[in-house]
Amino acid sequence: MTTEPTDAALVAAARSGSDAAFSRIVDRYQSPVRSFLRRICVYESDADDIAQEVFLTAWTRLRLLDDGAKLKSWLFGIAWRQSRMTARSMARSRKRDQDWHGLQGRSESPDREMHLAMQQALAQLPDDQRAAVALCLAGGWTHQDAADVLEMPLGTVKSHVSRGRARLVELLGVSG
Amino acid sequence: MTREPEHETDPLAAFFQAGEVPSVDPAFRIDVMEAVARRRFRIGLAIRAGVLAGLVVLAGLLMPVVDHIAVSLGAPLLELLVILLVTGLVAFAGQAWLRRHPAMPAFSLRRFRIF
Repeated sequence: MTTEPTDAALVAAARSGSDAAFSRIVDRYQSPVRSFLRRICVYESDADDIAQEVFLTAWTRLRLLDDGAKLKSWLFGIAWRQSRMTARSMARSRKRDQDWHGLQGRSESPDREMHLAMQQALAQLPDDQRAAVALCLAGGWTHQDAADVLEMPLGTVKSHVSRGRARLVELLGVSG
Repeated sequence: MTREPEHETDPLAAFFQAGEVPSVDPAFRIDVMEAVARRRFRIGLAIRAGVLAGLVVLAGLLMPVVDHIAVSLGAPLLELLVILLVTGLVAFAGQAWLRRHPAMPAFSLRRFRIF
């Protein structure tokens, strides 16, 4: 039976120059980071570009990470800050807007339809609320961990999650 | 990291589940590692360019001293000195080539707006 290396072990190996270790970090966290970014970015096409930038930034700053065990929240912190910076540059928004509307006309699988419905509903929430919802409701993070990642007070995160959830329930027409 | 209790019975869970990215996407990993290789190359290039610039400046500063030594040593010893210098330079270039995958810098080069 093989045991998976811990985050701390992978971080230590990647710091000493192991591409294989960093590659495993990417594999381990690409899904949660990309899912998080897809939920908080209004345009999905931005999400993967930002996710790539997140891992690149992580590689460059890996030596600055004090505790390898905190890798996950550190990566999500980078993702959150990176997405906020990108949100400010809206140069290509018009094209993406057209792409988005183009998607609406296609026949979609039920999963895809649910996903699009959720994306549209999430887009109605303010940025901070959307991020708190993406972490706590979709990602299953505790309020405290989300507060650390988003650098917000715990009470603010709880309030964002509660209000965001109520708004999503209303927008999606599900029973809360 | 434990889940909040509200997540377990959340009617929104199915909607969130529908948007989950596949656990491992090799194409994404390859894109990231290519970007890492490009950044490593640029960092290595910047470090070497810096070292080279430093050496050129140092050589310029030492030139009057070297000139004085050359005159006082005379031709035979000067040749020996040149051989030693060339050997040293070749050794330096050789070790730089052998270590052409530099370790990551301990600081971010972003602050100097290089990358």
